Amino acid sequence: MKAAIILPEKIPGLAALESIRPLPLIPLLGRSLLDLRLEELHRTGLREAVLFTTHNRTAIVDHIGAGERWGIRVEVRELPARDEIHACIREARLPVLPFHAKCATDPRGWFQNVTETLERAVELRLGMRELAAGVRVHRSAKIAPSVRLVAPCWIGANVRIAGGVCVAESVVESGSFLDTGANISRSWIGPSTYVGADTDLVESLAWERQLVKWASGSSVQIADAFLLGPAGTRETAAGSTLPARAAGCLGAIWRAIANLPDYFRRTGNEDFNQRTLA
Amino acid sequence: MKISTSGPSLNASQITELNSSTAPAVRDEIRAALKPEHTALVLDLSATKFVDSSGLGAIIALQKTMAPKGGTLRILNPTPTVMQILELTRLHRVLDIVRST
Repeated sequence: MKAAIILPEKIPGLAALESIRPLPLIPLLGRSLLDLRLEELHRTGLREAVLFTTHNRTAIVDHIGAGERWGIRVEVRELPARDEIHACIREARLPVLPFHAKCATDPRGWFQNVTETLERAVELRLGMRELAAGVRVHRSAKIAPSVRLVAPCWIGANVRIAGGVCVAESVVESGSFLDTGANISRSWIGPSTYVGADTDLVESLAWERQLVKWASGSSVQIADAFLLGPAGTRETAAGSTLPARAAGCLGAIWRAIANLPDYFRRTGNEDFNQRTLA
Repeated sequence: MKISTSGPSLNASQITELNSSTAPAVRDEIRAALKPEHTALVLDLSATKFVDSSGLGAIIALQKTMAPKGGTLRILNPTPTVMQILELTRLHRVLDIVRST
């Protein structure tokens, strides 16, 4: 089966998020909206698709390639206007499939998508573990023992959470770093985002420097990186030189060797999990 | 910025930005205008589009100026973006914020 999918145009209400990545490529619990849609369509038997977009063709092609990962042969076409896209589809006589059943048009809708995806995510994905009912954490996440996780919440790959942080009814996408004492409630933290120590994020969408209050739609770009910013710059600043990185690697290997006897003594991660949820 | 007096209150308004280049001047100008009879300082942030850590520092400094003489600092009608920054830094819990409808 072959079909056409029209990717959404820029949505003014989501401009803050789209300034970082095109809407179809924004992750939702680790996978982009486009990833999720192509997975769904593969299950329904779709094997060939033409994606039409009015902008950002390069970013989309960079992300999905030719669609091999989803078992769908994908072609991406960029046309300047929706009219031209519809004319092209009519000419090719392709059935049109919706991009997303309920594509958000504002921050409130975006957060609703986040919570609905969180509720629907019944099966555990590869690498995820359930620390308690509704608390899903990627195995590569590093969480301090004093962190409080309140269901439902989802912590992605390579997330680091320092002591005294509380994450309640929220999603933290991969690679983010929540610093000491931060309070995250009913919020979505985008990928590779640093959330500063003792900050309060309530009913917000935070991604790199962008901070959006999803209930009101108000958005602001935070100027101070110690409050909110990209997590990546922090990591590279700490160990950008080769000797520093080499020393870091040697230290990690030494710590791993030193911890081996302790690892074999333990039966699992139960102790850690209990402390995490205390 | 506009500074006016109404009774024991000093009001500062029309502050468009409170960042590293404007905040020290705003702080110093308000401090210079404060008289011993002023027991209240009102910062009207209804026209403020942007605040950074320097701006927050200036607000805290003004609060510290008022505190020893038993005075108060009141933030009036902060814009939604300013309110987001106050909430992010938890300053909304320690500052007296008034929003008129």
